[in-house]
Amino acid sequence: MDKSELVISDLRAGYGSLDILNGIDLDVGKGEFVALMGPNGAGKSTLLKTLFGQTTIKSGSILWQGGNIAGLHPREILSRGVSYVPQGRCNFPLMTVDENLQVAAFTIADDKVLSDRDYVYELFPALQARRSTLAGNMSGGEQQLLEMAMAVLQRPKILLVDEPSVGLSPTAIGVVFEELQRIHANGHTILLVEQNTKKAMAVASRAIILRLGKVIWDGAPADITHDELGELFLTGRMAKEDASMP
Amino acid sequence: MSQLQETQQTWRSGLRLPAIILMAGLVLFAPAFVGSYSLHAVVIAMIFLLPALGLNLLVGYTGLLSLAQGAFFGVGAYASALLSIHFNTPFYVNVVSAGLISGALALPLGIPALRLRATSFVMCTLGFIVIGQAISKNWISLTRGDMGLSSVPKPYFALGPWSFSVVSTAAYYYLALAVAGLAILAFYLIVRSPAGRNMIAIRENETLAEAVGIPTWTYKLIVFVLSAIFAGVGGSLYVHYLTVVSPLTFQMYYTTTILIIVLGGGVGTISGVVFGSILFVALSEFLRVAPEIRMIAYGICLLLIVFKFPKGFAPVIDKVWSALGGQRA
Repeated sequence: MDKSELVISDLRAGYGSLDILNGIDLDVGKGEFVALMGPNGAGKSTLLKTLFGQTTIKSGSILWQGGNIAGLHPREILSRGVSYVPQGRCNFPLMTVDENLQVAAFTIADDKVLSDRDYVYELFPALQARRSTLAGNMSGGEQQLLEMAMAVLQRPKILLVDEPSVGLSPTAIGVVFEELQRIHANGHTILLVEQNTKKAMAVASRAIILRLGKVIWDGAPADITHDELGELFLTGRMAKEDASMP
Repeated sequence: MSQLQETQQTWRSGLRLPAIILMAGLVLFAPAFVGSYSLHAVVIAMIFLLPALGLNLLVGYTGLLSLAQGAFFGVGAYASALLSIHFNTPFYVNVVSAGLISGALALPLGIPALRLRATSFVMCTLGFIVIGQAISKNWISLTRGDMGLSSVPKPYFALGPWSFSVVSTAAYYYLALAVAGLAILAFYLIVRSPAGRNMIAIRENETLAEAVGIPTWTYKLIVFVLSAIFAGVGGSLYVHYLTVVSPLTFQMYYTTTILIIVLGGGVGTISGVVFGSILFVALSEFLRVAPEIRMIAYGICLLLIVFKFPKGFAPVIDKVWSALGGQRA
């Protein structure tokens, strides 16, 4: 693992007076592919939203490449190389694929838009064939690809992806995960929130498990079995740890 | 495809150009064969097209429903009337000033209003009309209150030693046509620009637009000001045509007419709104034949239109256009 690019310390945040994150500590190294997992209500999506400046931060810090981005406006965070793909359908349905990408390129200098779009089409060949199709007329899987492409177009140093598999067919999920691996292989750091633990563990280089707003496990996917993962989700502890306890 | 269909298609594909020539002919020579009352209705329709285009920019391209168009229309009318009465300024000065004054007023009003969302924003813009009416009624030294301003000069143009006034309905028709044409062109250039695309993005998904870095609030404020400029120009055109303006200009009737033109014609389209302005103003004028039941009949027509054409007339116009081009609609 390279030097940590993202260092989150004792982060407490939520919506208004409601706290969801209760002291998150974690770091992500450059070029890592981290899967954030955990039961419902663990605060996975809230963590991504918080990183992208969309929640109320109570305390703690989010150091991104050495600077604190906690509490900054999403636009400012975006300009520092953090892109976010929200959960669920999140595109401009009455615009074509091309237009969606043009809007997503808002922050990119005009002379670079075309070459960047070509790069994205190279990375997402499935979209190139659909470039004149209205986004809303595409399948859920294609729309998810478009949304990731829109985020990649912003030249992110880190990509925050929230549950890309939601509502997709098994085939489409396969394509989306292949694409995520390809984006990662192209040098982008990825922080992925995912309910589909099997898929997430298969592609990620590191797994972090959240429960009730705290990190309860952090390690390589190979170091944890699915049964142990289930145990962690349900109880917050592993059976073997229990046995060693007095 | 059968032989017959093919022949039909080739035959039909040549119909677009004749249709354009016919339409252009109708528009250019209308005063020659349209009765004076009908011509008056068309002039009114073209005047209403201006605030409607402004509202279309707001509703159709940023998803903001504003009832303030009537207020900015009134402001434009008063501004233009006062300028020409007190300073005897030529028409082009009045019309530009009316647009600028309405736009300048929209800026401080838009800043707090656009902090509000959805229904609260609509209510706030409704407040602007009420305030506009109250001011026009009570600032008697300026507006003459309920008596209104009368004998507003007909538009006159002055260029060096030459000057002429637009007096007849036919002459005014061409003046309104020119202003409406310019407004349509301005509208087209705005919505087809990259900024127009960003505006549509805001309408489609504001949160996402914000997430990709579009300064959504600034965009909405600019569009609010632009819509007021369109309305102000319309108000100016209106007052120099009727030569009177009173607090009645701030009535809900004007705002609802503008709303109906946009929502009934086709939100987010140009053809729908142009057609809507002609149809709804013409309908309202035509129904004067039965004054007792005029508004009831108008309401029933609206209901029928909403049920029959829920997306306005733009899809119908598109179909006709495609058919003229030989494509199966």
